[in-house]
Order: sequence, then C-alpha cells, then structure tokens
Amino acid sequence: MFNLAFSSLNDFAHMDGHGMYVWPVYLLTILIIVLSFAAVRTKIKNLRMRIKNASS
Amino acid sequence: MITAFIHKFSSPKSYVRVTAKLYPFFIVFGVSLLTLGWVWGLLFAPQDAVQGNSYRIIFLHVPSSIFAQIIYFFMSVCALMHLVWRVKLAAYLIKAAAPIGAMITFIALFSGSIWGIPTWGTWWQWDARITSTLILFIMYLGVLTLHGSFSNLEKADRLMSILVVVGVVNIPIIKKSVDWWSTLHQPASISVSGNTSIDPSMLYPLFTSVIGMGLTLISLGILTSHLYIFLREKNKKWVLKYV
Repeated sequence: MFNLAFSSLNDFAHMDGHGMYVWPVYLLTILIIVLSFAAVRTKIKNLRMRIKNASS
Repeated sequence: MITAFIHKFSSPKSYVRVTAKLYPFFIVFGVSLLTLGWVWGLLFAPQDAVQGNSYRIIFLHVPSSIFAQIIYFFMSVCALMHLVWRVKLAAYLIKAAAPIGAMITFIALFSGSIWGIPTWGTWWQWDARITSTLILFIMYLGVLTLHGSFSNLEKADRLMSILVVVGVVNIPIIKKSVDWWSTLHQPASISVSGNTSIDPSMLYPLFTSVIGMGLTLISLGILTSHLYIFLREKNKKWVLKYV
C-alpha cells in the first residue's frame, strides 16, 4: 500500500502526460484555501483594531 | 422549554468562546490529514487501470463535492432554526458558511471540469449531476447577494433563511441525479451502505482527504463566523471585552 507509484521525480511531475491536469487543480485549490484563511484573518485583525480604537 | 434551551446554548458570546478553544484542534488536524491524504493519494496510491494518473484529481474532487452539499445542508438546518426559533446565531452561521460553500462548490466544478478533459474528452456537459452542482453554486451566490441587498439586517436574515430552505430541494437532486438520469458523470464509487467499488489502496487516502478537508473547512468556518459575529455585534459589551 505504501509503495511509491512513480520511479522518479520527473515521472511524478509528468504523471504520464496527466500532470498538466492534476497539478493546476491542486495548486489552485491550495491557493484559494490559503488566501481565504489569510483574507479572513486580516479582516478580523483590522476589525479588532477598529473596535479597540472606537472604544478607547 | 425547547426554545429556552436553544436560546441558552446558542448565544453568539458562548459560541465564540467555545469555538475559539476548538479552532487550534480543527486547523492542526485538518491541514495535517488533508496533507497526508493528498500526499498518500498523489505519491503512493496505484495508477488507475482505465483513467491512468488523471484519476488522482479524485482526492480533491470528491471531498470538495461532498462538502459543497454538506455545507448547504448545514445552512438549511440553521435556516430552519432561525425561522422557527428566531436564533440569531443560526443566521450568522448561514452568512458565514455561504462564501465557504460557494468556494468549495467552485473547486468541485473546476476540478471536475479539468478531470473531464482527459477522461470524457470535454470540460463541460449539461448532464444532471454537473448542472445541479452549478445550480448549487448559483444558490450560494444568490444567498449572499440577497443578504447583501438589504440594509435591514434582520429582514435580510429572514429572507435569506427562506431562500436557503427552498433551495435545499437541490441537494437530494444532486445526490440522486446519477441514478435518476443517464448521465456522463459516473455513479457514486463509495457508499455508506457498504457498496464501495473502489480499491482500499485508493479508498483510504480518499477517506483521509475527506476528513482532512472537513476539519479544514470547519476551521475556516469558525474564523469566518467570528468575523461576522464581531461585525454584527460590534457595539455589544462582550465584543468590546473579547477583542
């Protein structure tokens, strides 16, 4: 079950011609999820600052 | 009595307190399991006999498709709670979950389209599964647009809840579309009833990816809901104390 499915890093990247479909999907998903977390965290930080400034 | 119980345990203040403690657990286990599932699926799972390596998109496509539907179902439960018991936290949670639902439905549609190119020879087909998932994406956008179009937020909460409840009819249609109609999209490969047609060497990393994706989305949901609760309750004393 834990045997590597590819014999080299090049094979892994190329995936018999299917790498061009597989990698963009994973990369875009990771980008969307990371940006979502970053955007929400930044908004919370800014809102906290605004609330703090308004109350002081 | 039920109403009193629900209102006691659904105050935004106690929700923020409890979920802030749970957040580190969800984010750490979610990202770890999602990474494990994807590395397992991309590096160690064997090549598919028919689809070759393009099938490896399954470790992303299936979790995102599952949660695209689960998030909407969650929203519909919240919508009922808001309409029946006037729980304001429920409305906040719908508003927080909708953009995450839209995001994950977009990922499901995008990954499915890319997977379709080498597998079906086309990136899009107006078949029942794909079309009903597109309708789900439009529903998420509709919920967000409807809520954003009212200046009276209480009225916006109620109308948004009604729209969510009406739209939940689409969820069983998505689920059963591959059985009710002849679709290009394949029938389900995994089933809770045990009729799973996928090999364990592919099933285990898929299951790990599903759990990891779920926990990651819950942690994003917690963050988004905190943001929305702070926005809505920014003039309350407990928010001033909390921040």
